[in-house]
Amino acid sequence: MNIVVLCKQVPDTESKIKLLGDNSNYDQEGIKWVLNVYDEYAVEEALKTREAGKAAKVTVLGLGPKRCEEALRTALAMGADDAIHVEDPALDGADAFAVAKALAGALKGVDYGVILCGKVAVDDDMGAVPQMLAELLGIAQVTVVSKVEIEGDTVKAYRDVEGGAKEIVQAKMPVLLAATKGLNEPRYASLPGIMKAKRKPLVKKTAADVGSSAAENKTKVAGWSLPAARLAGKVFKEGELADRVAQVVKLLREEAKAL
Amino acid sequence: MSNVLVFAELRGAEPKKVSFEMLSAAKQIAAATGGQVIAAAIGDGLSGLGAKLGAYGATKVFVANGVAKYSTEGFAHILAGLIKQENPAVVLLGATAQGKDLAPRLAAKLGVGLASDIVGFRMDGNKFVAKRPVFAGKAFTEVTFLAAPAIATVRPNVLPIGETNGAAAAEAVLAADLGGPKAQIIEIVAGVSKRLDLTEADRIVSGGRGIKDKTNFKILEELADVIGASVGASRAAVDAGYADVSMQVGQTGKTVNPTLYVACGISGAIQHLAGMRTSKVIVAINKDPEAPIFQVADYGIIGDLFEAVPLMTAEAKKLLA
Amino acid sequence: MYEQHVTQSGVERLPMWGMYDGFWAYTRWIIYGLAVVAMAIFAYGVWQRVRAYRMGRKAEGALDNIGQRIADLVRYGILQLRVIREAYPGVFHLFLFWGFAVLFFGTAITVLDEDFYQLLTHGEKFIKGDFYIGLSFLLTTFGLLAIIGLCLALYRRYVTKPDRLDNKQEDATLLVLILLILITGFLTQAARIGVVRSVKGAAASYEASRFVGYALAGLFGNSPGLHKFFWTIHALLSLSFIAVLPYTKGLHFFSTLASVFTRNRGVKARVPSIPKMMERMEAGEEVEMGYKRIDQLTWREILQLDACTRCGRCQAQCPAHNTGKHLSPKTFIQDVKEHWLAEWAKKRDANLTEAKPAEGAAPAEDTGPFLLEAEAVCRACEGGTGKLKSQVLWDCTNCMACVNICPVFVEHVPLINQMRRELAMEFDDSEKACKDFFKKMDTNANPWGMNPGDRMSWTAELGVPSVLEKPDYEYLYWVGCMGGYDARAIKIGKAFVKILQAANVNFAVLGELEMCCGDSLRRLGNEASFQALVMMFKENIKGCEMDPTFAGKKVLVTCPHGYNTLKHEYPEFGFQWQVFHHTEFILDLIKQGKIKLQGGNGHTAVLHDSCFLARYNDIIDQPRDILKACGLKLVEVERSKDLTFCCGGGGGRAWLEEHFDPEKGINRINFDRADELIKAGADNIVSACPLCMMMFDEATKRNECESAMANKRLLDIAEIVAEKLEAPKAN
Repeated sequence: MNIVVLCKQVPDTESKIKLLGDNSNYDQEGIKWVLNVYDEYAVEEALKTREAGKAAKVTVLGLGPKRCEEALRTALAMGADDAIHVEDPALDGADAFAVAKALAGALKGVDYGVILCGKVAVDDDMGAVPQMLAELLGIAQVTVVSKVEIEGDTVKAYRDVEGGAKEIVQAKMPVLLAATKGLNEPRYASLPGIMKAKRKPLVKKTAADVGSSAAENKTKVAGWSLPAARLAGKVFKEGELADRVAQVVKLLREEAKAL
Repeated sequence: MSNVLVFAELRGAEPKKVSFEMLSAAKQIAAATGGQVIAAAIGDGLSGLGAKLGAYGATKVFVANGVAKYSTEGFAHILAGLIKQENPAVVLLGATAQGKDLAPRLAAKLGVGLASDIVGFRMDGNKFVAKRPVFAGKAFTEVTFLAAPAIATVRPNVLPIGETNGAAAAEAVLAADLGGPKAQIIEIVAGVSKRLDLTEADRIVSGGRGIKDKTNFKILEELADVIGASVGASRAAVDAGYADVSMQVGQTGKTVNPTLYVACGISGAIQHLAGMRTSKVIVAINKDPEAPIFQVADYGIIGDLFEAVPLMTAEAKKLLA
Repeated sequence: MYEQHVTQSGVERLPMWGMYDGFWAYTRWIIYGLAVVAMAIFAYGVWQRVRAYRMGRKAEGALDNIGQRIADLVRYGILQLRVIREAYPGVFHLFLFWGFAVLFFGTAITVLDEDFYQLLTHGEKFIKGDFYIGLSFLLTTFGLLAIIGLCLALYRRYVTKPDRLDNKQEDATLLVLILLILITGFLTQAARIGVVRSVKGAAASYEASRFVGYALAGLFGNSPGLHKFFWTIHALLSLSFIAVLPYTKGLHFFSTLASVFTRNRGVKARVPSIPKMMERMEAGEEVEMGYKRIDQLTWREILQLDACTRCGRCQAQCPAHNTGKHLSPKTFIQDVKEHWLAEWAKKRDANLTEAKPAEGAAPAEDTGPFLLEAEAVCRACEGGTGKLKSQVLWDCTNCMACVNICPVFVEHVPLINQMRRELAMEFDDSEKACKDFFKKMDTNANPWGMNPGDRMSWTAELGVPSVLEKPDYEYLYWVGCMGGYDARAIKIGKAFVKILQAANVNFAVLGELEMCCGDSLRRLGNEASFQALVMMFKENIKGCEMDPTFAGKKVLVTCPHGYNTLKHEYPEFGFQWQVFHHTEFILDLIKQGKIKLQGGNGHTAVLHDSCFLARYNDIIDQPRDILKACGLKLVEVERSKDLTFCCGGGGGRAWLEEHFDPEKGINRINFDRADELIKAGADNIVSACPLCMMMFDEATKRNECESAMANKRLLDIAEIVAEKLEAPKAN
């Protein structure tokens, strides 16, 4: 059984998000790019499965411009066997559907029992590609997975739902699993590991190869905006404590919209 | 081609609050598209949904009864059938555990677009334009749709609930045919604790050495219960034996990024900030006005946490009642 | 036969004695035969040991500066300056060492006299008369000292039993063997004097110079048989002793001297480099990460393993061990040594039966046996593992207390760091917090993963120019990660800026260009990320059209970790700056009168010496002089100056979780140290390191410290000085 892991390169969560002058996109100048943290869990789970003797090969699959190779190399350094990189300007600005279609195309002819991925990418926070891909491939899906058990060709996945409950979902392979935090502790890809990973095979595919492009988009980002600048913190020290507390609770609801 | 379909998510046989929020939004959308609000619900032992959803504006409710368990593929199968039949312009689902899982699969099945976790929308003529946060709320995008229907998942607790004076909606039966899903829920394990793991929690109440005693964590738990939060701790509190190490937030503990982080009796040393500073809204309660936590707090209360926290619990209870 | 000799020589009145007097004529030839055998056994043992050392690799510079090395040998080998730092064990060891050395010297002279001079001159001897009396007295005195030393040693080892000693059979064997040799020596002496006295009567009074034997002679009277018996036992024991030296703990007579002689005379602070690691990897070269097999150590490092006598001074100083962690530097060295000896035995046996592999053939990739017994290592290993658990290596704070105290210059810390490299870069066997730390450093070049753009956001408001705004700056103030982000350390930075401004120093800061110095990265074993960080810093500096070597620039650092790293580790990457710690610089400003300080007000201060200042860089007096100049009365804690006790934050430990379980006696290092500093009772607890400050800030805010800290302040030395600054006089 082989495993495919979907990997996306995203800005480090610490990045400051600035917009281009015409608000058409965010400014990528000075951004530090990393492998999406949820995808790290997916890679780790795939490697652990392989190390447990339940999978033969781990292939990582990514889509994006040239720089995405770094994210794939990170996954290879963690221990994946090979990589497929879908890289084509025709895919610039592809939406979730176009990306899912491209990934489905890239997986044509690839033998897999399990597809692992992160439940969401922390850039667009869309959380849609995994489910769309599962639908396009016609396979079972389990999202927000915090535990996986594989027996033969049966996969049991624990899906986190509200209130700390877990749905245990069972399916026959092939199955797509979207990982959440707590699934495992991803290993660290050291720089020597990343450099050695350059010797591992990385196959490039174009939009034509995978049969998708931004022309397949079903949505369009019409514009970007930034939230109101964070106000200086409000510290309440004068007056009755009860009043101050009431004021903060009110602000949490009305101003911060956090309650 | 102008109706708005709301998939009313249920808890047991009752609609969740987000379902009413979506119906209220759908009413506004339908007003612009010139259509009706229709709803769909899938569950077991359902009754009276026509009245319950109708009150918030649904004019027709499609009910698939006798489906005891959620199934991604099964629900997508039922809804896709309904959508093909009804041709709505917009479909809304809750950005809940279920809705987030279901909506993209449904969109792909129909070959249409999706905007997830929307926090607002506007109508451009009769076109639905969704507003959604990206980069964990550091920016927003407006999404337009190139195919019909437009599907969106709506973040709970954000959109207002409108008037509840609607008439009972007509109920129609949907076939409870799941279409042979490949994956099935074989068991549901209730949470050991009702609280989410800190790393996943949307709200956290956290205590530091100012708590002074293990038993005092109770007052934090009471606040957490009211606002639906998980309980965390600083390393100092863990060291002092007030809290378990699994609750530790910070450089060597857990990194959290909830919407709301309430720091009680935590001074805010950098090693703690490293684990929680990306929280969207930080509230600090501390009697030391010099505590560095106030430098990162959005709202600070200088005072005794043993008085302030119970007051906050009472206030929140009033507000959320 | 005694009488025979006395009369034949005709010099019966002259003080002298023949070693073989009273024995059968051929006795000496039997002894010569046995001596040759003993020395052959000895030589074989030494040769085998040297071969075992040569399992190790070349040790660069281990034999340079011979003059200095001879001086070291005198200082630390002969005078035992490091051994006598501790009174009790120091004194008895000195007794033993000098007793033995003098007896050896006496025996050598006697052998020269009896076995060469006498044979060549057909009966002449040069040990006679006053020389005989003097030598007799000297040897007896030192023999007695050795016995006293031995008794003290036995008492300590088997009665008082300090924690740091573990008793093995080899310890008892050596001590008892030496004791028997000394005692039989004196018994031989006594019995002989008994015989001589009965022959010569009062004429034998010169033998009183051998006062021990003389006093005991009465016990034996005239019993030549008893003398021969003691003599034979003594001779056989002595020869056996020579034979078994290299096979027992007696080997340390030589291995310690060799270790002292070949000691690392370089900068003690440096982490061994992997030269041009990133460039070589870029070129596709296989680069070794660190040490995972014993044959990767240098012969000097292996020799050091062998020089360790398990005296336990390192362990007694070690902050990890003292707070109940897994690491004991002594056990660490002994575990590695045990592994080495086992591997050597295997290799030696294999060499006897198999053909040697071709010269220069690379060892098979990633085959054991490995030194470490970590899970990840075991997985990768087919050839077995040693005893070392990875947590032992992670426990080290790199405080250097062990290396500093070791009487024979064993270097525990570099060895630990070399092995950490395998754990960090090759086997990924580190705790989650460590992996997170690495990721944060790789992405954002600071320990918390904060946005690099937020670094040093406070300097502009104080009017401090950046290097871009003021390219002709004389001094670069390296603010550091703590000073760049940590609210507490920012106060230190602001105080230092106030001092610099008061003294009209021409300085600038790097602002967003500054990155972490990489000290923690390197010491946690992530050499690759460290080198990548330094190279990226250079690239960024070049990108701003500045000189990336900083030639001619002076750097001021308020953090001892940054100070040490920039000063000692960065030159390897072409940096040519001069680096000063703020204690050095502030003291200079005071001495030159560039800042004026208000007088004292009777307050007291206790100084915590940062390991990276006191032990790594010998900065001990400077902070004390500054505090005195501020009019503060100094209170010293027991563990201070070069014997300071770590805050727990060094070696990257500040970013890792530290085991804490007071019920099991496992304490935090910073709590242990803070308690000591609080107990000193001074008004001010002073450090000169923001990392120490962070550790103590946490420790002193514990609820149980609240009352003790109520009238105390925890301050950096710069904050003390800034408070005492006299307002500059109006012109």
